[in-house]
Amino acid sequence: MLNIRELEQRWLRYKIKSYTPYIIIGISILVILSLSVILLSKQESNSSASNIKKVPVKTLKEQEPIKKIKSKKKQETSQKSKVSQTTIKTNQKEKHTHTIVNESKQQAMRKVQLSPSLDFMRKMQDSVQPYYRNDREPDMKENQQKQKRYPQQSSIPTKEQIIKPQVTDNTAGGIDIQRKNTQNDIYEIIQRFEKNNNPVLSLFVAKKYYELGEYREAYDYALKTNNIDKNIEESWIIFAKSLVKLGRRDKAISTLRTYVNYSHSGNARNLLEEIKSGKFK
Amino acid sequence: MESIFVNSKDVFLDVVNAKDYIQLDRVSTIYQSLKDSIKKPLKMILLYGKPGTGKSMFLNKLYKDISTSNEIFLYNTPILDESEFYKTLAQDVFGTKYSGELNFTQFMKIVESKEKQSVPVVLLDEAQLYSEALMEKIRLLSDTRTIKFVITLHKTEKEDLIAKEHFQTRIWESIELENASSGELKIYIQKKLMKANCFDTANMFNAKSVNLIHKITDGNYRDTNKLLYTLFELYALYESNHQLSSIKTDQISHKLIEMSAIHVGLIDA
Ligand SMILES: Nc1ncnc2c1ncn2[C@@H]1O[C@H](COP(=O)(O)OP(=O)(O)OP(=O)(O)O)[C@@H](O)[C@H]1O
Ligand SMILES: [Mg+2]
Repeated sequence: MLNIRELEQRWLRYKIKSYTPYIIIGISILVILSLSVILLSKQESNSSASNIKKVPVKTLKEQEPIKKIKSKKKQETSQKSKVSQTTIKTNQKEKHTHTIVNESKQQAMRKVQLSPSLDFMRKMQDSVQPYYRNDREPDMKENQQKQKRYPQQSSIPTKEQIIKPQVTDNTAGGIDIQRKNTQNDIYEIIQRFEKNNNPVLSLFVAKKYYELGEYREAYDYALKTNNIDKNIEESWIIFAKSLVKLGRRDKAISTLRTYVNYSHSGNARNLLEEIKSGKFK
Repeated sequence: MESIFVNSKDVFLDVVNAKDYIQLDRVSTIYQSLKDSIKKPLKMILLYGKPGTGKSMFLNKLYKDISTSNEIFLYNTPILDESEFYKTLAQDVFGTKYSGELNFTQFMKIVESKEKQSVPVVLLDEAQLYSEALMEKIRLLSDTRTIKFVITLHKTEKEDLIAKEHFQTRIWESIELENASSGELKIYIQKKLMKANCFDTANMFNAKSVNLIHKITDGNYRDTNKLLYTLFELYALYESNHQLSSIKTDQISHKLIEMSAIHVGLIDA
């Protein structure tokens, strides 16, 4: 028997373990970063105020905030040196280190130094999952619809067409599925449908064709589905949507109206409103 | 209503049944060439590969397809006793019932006495379990071209056998089955689910999640079955605990994949 709790804990431990090297690298980079900040501010305090711009911080994105902090550091360090003016130069190193540590405890760390580390975390995740980058481009034609199609990924070496990941915005109820499929699969399903007339299969085909923008076929298979079982809401919706896409808005409205009247389906009613108002076209 | 996750889970029970066979490009090429070689007058076909690469599945599929047209016999579990082995073949293939011990010479007499229109095909799964002595008799038998044998072996055993030179020259054709590539694995998973009308869960697998599964199972079908069985068991559990909202359902949750891998021991944690 599965024990979810225990498994989740083991998983967490596993995750932490697998991220540990990256975290260590992260921390060491942080340390290096703060060390260089210390060095920088030391240089600054040694030079005159007008030299700030010469400080080599090109690699950091957040130049602005860093500058601000630098000037803060400058103020503080100069304050300190006022307080302890008697200190000889050879002690300065220690003193500056001390100053910076205090300072970072107070504010600077929280404000700025964390942002490069976040960047780093992101990189780390990228490097952990090298396969997972896929280049998705939304298909602009269909941005009216809830489901968006994406072009094929070419990385997989199979004969069969593979399969377009799709993102669904619709989060209402049940499972939201990333839709993807191939013509080949559709044909296979059609063959099976022809053998056993299972409306689940024809509905699947209708949905796939609709996603592929082949509205005539989508219409056909939704119709077939409805003829076998007239109580499948999804099929009526595909049917009506395909009608709209095929330029038969009036027929879509009258069909949906009939269906809503006898099924009281909320989704169908919403779609009906959207078609009537021109929101869905 | 039956939970889709429970249905999907059962898809990945580790059973070998020809009707669940999934046509995969690479396998179907091999399959075609095997079907062709069965028609040719060759001696022995050796099917080898690591555990869980689908050898038994392949053999069962072959049996199912060919049994309508050819005389074909399938032995899923090896008959290790020599006399018992001959007696079974004598009865099944040559229709001769024999009581008492039957040795090789006597069996050969039966074989020679029977005129066959076509050469019967005998499929032997798990042949690594047969003794070396019996394997040698099987080899002699196929040399007479009265029976065609197709045998499957674990890979390591095959390497052992090949090392013995007599086998090297006698085996006419050997075919290796391998683990799936990531692309094949995706097709395997999705087709398997779709065959059981689990379209929604089939659509939850995208290239990313299959890549992760492939990384964990190395594309081994049996390990993948084990992993996905647990995966859907977990999904079903979350569902019955009303915790589905805490995990991904628009696509397979990587966390759950890894949890399953930990559970079945494919990941150390
Ligand atoms: N082409 C396929 N279609 C469907 N299922 C498959 C296919 N290939 C493998 N499988 C699945 O993988 C599992 C393992 O396959 P199988 O038992 O045939 O491996 P094997 O190579 O015979 O392993 P072993 O060497 O341990 O006997 C099977 O339970 C089956 O469900
Ligand atoms: Mg086997």
